[in-house]
Amino acid sequence: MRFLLTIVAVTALAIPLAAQNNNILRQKELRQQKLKQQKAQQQKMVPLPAPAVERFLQMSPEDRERALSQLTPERRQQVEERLRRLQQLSPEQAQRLQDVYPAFESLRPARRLAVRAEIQALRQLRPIERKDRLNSDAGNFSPEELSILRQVTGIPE
Amino acid sequence: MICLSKNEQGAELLANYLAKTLDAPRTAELARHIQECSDCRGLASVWERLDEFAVPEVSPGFDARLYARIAREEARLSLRTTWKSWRRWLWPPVAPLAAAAAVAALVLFLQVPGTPDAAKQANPTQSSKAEIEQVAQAVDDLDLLTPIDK
Repeated sequence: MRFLLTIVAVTALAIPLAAQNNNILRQKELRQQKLKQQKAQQQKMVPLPAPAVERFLQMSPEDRERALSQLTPERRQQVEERLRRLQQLSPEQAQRLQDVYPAFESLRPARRLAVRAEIQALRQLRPIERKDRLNSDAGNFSPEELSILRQVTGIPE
Repeated sequence: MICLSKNEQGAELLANYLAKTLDAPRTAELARHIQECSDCRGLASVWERLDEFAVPEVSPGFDARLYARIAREEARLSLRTTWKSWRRWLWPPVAPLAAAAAVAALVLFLQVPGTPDAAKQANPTQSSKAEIEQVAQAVDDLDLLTPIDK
């Protein structure tokens, strides 16, 4: 009788433990599957030309979350929104970004400031106004800077 | 007339002038004034030279290494301060033994080579904050440089 009771007690204890174990295993499997999907999606994309951003995208979701939590909520939302947009770029757009970003990065800080301001102003305009503004402002920029502005706006010489 | 040395916003005005983001009339006015005013001419030439200075690219692990170094210095300072306060309370015969142990610990601590990973462990918050700021700035630039759809 005592033997039977022991068996029943052990079985009663073992069943929830096994179920919990099973649950953990399933969660692990799901997480691995998610990571695989994420990696596969990243492999399909043209990599972003900024190494810091690429390193960030390679992080695990937990590390990414930890890093993002260092930002203020507004800044975090802005960064996440922009990252989402960047990840949805067409291969052609991503390729153009690959060409233009290193050129922009190589500019001196003051010139980067000027190019940034010009792009922000050009983005506010309609295509026809953009062309006029770029042509009239051409004298303020070096050939390298103009090439960046033309690549971003898609306005040929 | 705008005199950069007498204007509260002189530095900002000069930065915009050098970045060529001022409107045409103000640019012309400032250019004329710089020709006439020796103080402003000097100021503008210094800024122009600063502008020519190429800022070297910071290596990816720079922030992490810097924070690790700061953390090591802070740890060394705090060890020294703690030791000073303990010295008064230590029983005299134990003091030499404790001193030897502290020196051994300090030597061991300083001998451990600093790697970027170790740096992150030394001060993870500061290090990751600097890194995420760098990422955020790069994301801003990438987003700005994304070709405009026609």
